[in-house]
Amino acid sequence: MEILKVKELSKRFGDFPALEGVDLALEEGELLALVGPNGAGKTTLLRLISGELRPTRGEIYFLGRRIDRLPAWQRARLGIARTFQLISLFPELTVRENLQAAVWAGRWSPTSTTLARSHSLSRSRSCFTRQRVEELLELLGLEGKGDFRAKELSHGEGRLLELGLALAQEPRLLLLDEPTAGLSPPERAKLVELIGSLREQGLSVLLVEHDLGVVRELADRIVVLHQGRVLAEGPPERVHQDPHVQEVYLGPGGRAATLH
Amino acid sequence: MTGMEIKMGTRKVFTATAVAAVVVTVVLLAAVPRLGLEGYWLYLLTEGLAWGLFALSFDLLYGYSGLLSLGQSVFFGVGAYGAALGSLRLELGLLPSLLLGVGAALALAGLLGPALVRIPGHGFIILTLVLAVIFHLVALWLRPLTGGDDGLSVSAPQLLGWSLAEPAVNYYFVLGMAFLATLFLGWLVRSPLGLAFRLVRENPQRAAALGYNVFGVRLVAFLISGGVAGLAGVLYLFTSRFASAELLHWTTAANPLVWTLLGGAGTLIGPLIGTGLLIWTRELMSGWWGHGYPLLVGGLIVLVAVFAPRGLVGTLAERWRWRSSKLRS
Amino acid sequence: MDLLQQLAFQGLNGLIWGLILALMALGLNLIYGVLGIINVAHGAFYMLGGVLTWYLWYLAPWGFWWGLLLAPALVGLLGLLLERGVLRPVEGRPVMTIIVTFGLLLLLQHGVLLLFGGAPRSLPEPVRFTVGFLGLHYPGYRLVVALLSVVAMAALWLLLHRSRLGLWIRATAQSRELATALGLPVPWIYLLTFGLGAALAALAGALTAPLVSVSYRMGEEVLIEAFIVVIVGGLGSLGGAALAGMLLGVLEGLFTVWASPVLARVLALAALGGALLLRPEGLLGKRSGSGEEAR
Repeated sequence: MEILKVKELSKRFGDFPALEGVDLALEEGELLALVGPNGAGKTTLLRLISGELRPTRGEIYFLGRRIDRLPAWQRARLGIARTFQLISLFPELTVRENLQAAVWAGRWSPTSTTLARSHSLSRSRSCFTRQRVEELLELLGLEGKGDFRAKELSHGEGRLLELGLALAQEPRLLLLDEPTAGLSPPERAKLVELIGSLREQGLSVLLVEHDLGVVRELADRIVVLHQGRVLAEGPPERVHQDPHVQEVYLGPGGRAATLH
Repeated sequence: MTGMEIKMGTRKVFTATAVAAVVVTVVLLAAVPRLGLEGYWLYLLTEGLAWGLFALSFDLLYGYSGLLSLGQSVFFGVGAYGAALGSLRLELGLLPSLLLGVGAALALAGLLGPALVRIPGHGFIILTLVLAVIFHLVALWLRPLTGGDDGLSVSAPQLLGWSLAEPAVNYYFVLGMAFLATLFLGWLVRSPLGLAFRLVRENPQRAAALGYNVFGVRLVAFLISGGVAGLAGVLYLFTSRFASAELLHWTTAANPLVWTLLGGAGTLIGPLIGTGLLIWTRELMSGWWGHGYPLLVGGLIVLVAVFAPRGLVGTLAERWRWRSSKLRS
Repeated sequence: MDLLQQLAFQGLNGLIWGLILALMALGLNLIYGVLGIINVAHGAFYMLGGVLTWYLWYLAPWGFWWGLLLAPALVGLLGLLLERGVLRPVEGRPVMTIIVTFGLLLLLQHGVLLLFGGAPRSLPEPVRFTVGFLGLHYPGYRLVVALLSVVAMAALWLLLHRSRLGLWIRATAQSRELATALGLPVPWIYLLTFGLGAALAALAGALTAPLVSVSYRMGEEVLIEAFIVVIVGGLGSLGGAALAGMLLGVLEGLFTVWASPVLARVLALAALGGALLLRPEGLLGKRSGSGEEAR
């Protein structure tokens, strides 16, 4: 089943065409990697899907429903979660509170929860929340850091929490924006393992990545963007043999050594 | 100090101390008239409670939700005038005129909120300032209704047979209402909605990406803040029995900003302490050096903003947290 | 006076007031654009310009013209001291700067109250002549004010666009990090820009002194209007500020033909407030929500 479909999507910033006529489809349970040189439009595409930006032209469908007119928060409630290229957490809140915020957000509106008269209703909600937060902490390997403020975390831990926030929403579609940027090799391996296990649970993922090694490990399919357009698309082996792709990445006549 | 249901070791201790402190404070406050406090000081304390509530409404909006509004005086003034006009022109009793005042403030907040809250950052601050200026001018212009600068005087209302003209009765009434309102606010900031306020303040982009309706949350904060400010205005009116256009001036709105800052934004106790200290200082100084007070406040503001931006309570809370985190590691 | 004459008279009054507002708004904008300070004390600088000018007039013959020269210079100097001494720690955090400069406002206002007393003073117009048109006799000094304001704005434009310092100022306003990386003396630029902004406000105050009553409170109303002008014109846009200033002035002037001054002010402010609601980033605004308050 198609979980995400993008049709003829374009975005112009003033005169600058960041994206031109991009078509894309993601099957449920698939991990699609979005690669391309800097400025190719990868993050712009992600921001259009999450709702941070409005398209100049084109349509976006999520589970068959048209979403490009919806504000970001409504898309989040439909089941789209994202991480940010520059780690975006709630710095003064503790790790637990960050996760709590995410768990609450996905399910209940703050006003209704606050007004919930039934003591047992809010009791069970807080039980559920507590449990879920502990589960997530364990999954991320951050059990010891639960009471640390988010701003006190190391870069690697921050990236894990960033992913944790997205997971806490229990999304159906996960948008990851360069989740391994700035991580050391062991940290990167851990994150890749985590993402891999999510895939096995049937989560659909759209991954923007620079690190082609990570892409190779995780991607079912790759879409290569260049200057705002789709350059190539398909399973990893086919894409890395595409001469256009090789040219873009390595200059004319180069071999696609890095895609190996 | 978020108070979600999760309790950790030190957190529980803190909450117990806080509860004890609150109980002690309430008992002390309740005993005040018995302690033989002179009429003037009792009056000052009563007025101080009303202003303190006003500061709390400001803190809810600024300290917790991140919206700096220089126009809260509008809701304060509308609340006061609502109750004043209710009692004068419509001859309503105590509670109905109170409800009228608060209702008017809420209605105004509901009218203006949706337009104001969607303006980002500095635009919001300036628009609230414009609001204060415009409403102050309107209050001056509507002299027949508001009495302009000369204002309106009301007679003391009755509560269950007791007249509020009696300072002690007035005091208990205001104390009771302020206490209830403070309880409400205290509960609110510990609720999921309170957390939502802070999320939207800390990182609105992230909050939206998680699924929070940033505009909606801010609007709710604005409404509640306006309503509480209106209540503060009503309480002020019953105490001073006087309302003038001056109440809507932007400098009236600047006061809670100062009190909250000095006490500590984003903590409910801070603004109360800040208000108390400053009003007390003002009264002390008006005796021997009238000009001294604004100079002192000006100097304090500069010093606090530069060296201790979290205010009195905020800085203490930081120290506490720092020390307990050192204990942890 | 018939309607046309009234409109012309009030419109011209409004335009001149608008030019003064534009001077204030330009100073505010420079200070915000380069240093990230929302200067609530700007009205106090205006007030100091007016008070010092009155004082110099009081002391000596030709005092007014001395005032016109010295007041901006002295206030500019004060600005330098304040920037270096008090404002450095909070630059770039607009909300904090509002609070600190509010404290400064209190200090400056009440300092003047202590030194000069609270009674409003006045000084006569330094030149007395009238210009006739449309059957009106328009006070000449006001036209001098207009002329000098325009000269000041032109000088500012020249400074910013035709001098090295001006280039540095504009560069720093665009990006502090880049300016530092390029080796520009950013602390000096901050210093000078704040002093320049303060001097502009003082000049506005000095020019207005003969037209209004001079007192420690004279900056209050101007401040609010100047802020509104800055936001409506677009924070960070100098052209927008000048434009919005003149627009507010003219609107206010025109409205007074039909309404009381108070109502005219309300209407003019409401009009500009409405413009802000329609275009939250201002008429010619560039920066959108930088700094602490993200959307």
